Amino acid sequence: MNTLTEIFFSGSHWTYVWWAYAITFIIVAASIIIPTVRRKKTLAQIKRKIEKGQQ
Amino acid sequence: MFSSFNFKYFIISAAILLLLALVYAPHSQPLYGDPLKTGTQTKVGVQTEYGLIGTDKFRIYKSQKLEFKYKNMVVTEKINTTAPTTGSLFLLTNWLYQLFFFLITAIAIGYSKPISNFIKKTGSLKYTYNLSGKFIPWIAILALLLATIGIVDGLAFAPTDAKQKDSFRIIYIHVPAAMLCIQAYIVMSIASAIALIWRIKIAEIVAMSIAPLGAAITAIALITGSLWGARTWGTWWEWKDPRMVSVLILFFIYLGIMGLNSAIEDKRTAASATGIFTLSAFVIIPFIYVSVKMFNSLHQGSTQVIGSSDMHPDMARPLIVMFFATMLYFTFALLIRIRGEILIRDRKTQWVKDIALRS
Repeated sequence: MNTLTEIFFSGSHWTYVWWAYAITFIIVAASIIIPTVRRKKTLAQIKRKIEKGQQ
Repeated sequence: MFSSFNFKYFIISAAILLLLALVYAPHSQPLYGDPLKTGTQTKVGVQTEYGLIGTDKFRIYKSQKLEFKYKNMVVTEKINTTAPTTGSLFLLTNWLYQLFFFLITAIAIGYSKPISNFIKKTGSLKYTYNLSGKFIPWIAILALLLATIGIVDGLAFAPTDAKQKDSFRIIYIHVPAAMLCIQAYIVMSIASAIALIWRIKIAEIVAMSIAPLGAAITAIALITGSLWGARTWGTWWEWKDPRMVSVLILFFIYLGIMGLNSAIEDKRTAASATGIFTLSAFVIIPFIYVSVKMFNSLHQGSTQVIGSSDMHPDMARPLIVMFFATMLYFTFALLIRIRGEILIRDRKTQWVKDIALRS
């Protein structure tokens, strides 16, 4: 816990670097995960409809 | 001979390449001076604990000192730049040379059977879905590999900057993201233009898939820039800075495109409406480029990285690697979005049903 506080809240030059890289990592991960999950959901939805005989 | 010439592909490729020439040619280095700086202009730098920031020292022709208050910092330098007018002549020569090169490429595309066939095939959603599926894993692996090399090199091996200390390491994500958010808009505009003129479905899908990705990348550029500015300039945000505000406007444009697209139910009508909006808002792109050159800006001008670089090679190396890594990431993330959108659009076709049943 102390190490994390030091990394993100000590106010040193590296603090700003870690924040920048951490936020970038979260946005990049979200930009990949969200459309992947959505694609899988679309496929599952189409499959469900076929099985129900709606499509 | 002319019967084999595909006029449609020539026009499409010429339009794309002409747009590229218009956007990128002003960036090419003129041999003498910079026409954008012709005449006397004023550029104000900010004196911080790490030295004078916000001036473009490589373009200084002559300078004079004066006192100026800027928030809690004292600005000490005013620079009058007078560039020789011969610069515009060389820039024009450079433009014409690039236009000639692009025209030759467009003619080659018009004649080339394999390229013409490839463009025709990518118009098919099924073909694009299957082809992108083959490339995605390789692009992902290469992007991850380059990003790992770039980040490790940038954080652990690049030397510490004399003035900005370790905070300069934000450059390895801020600069590629800032470049990419503009390039993404250019690609989106080209796709929108093709979709509007020729009503090609895949172009509509590409344009619509770029918008959320562009917004995410612009958000990265803004957040990392703000963090960097907080440490080096002493301010998180400056409303008077044309570069910061114009990139924020670009972020809102991306959000506007996303909003407009989801507000209209019919996909094809939505694509037309957002296409017109995208092309109308394109005016922000040249403004972002010239903002630091034409106005007093806290943000510095562009630094040459490749060739006779202003950066130390050990600092420039990770940046070049990160440029390629971010471009590959963009391609990877874009292909994922395109594939998802293709499935939604073609959900009633047999080939999509087959994929759904196999999944």
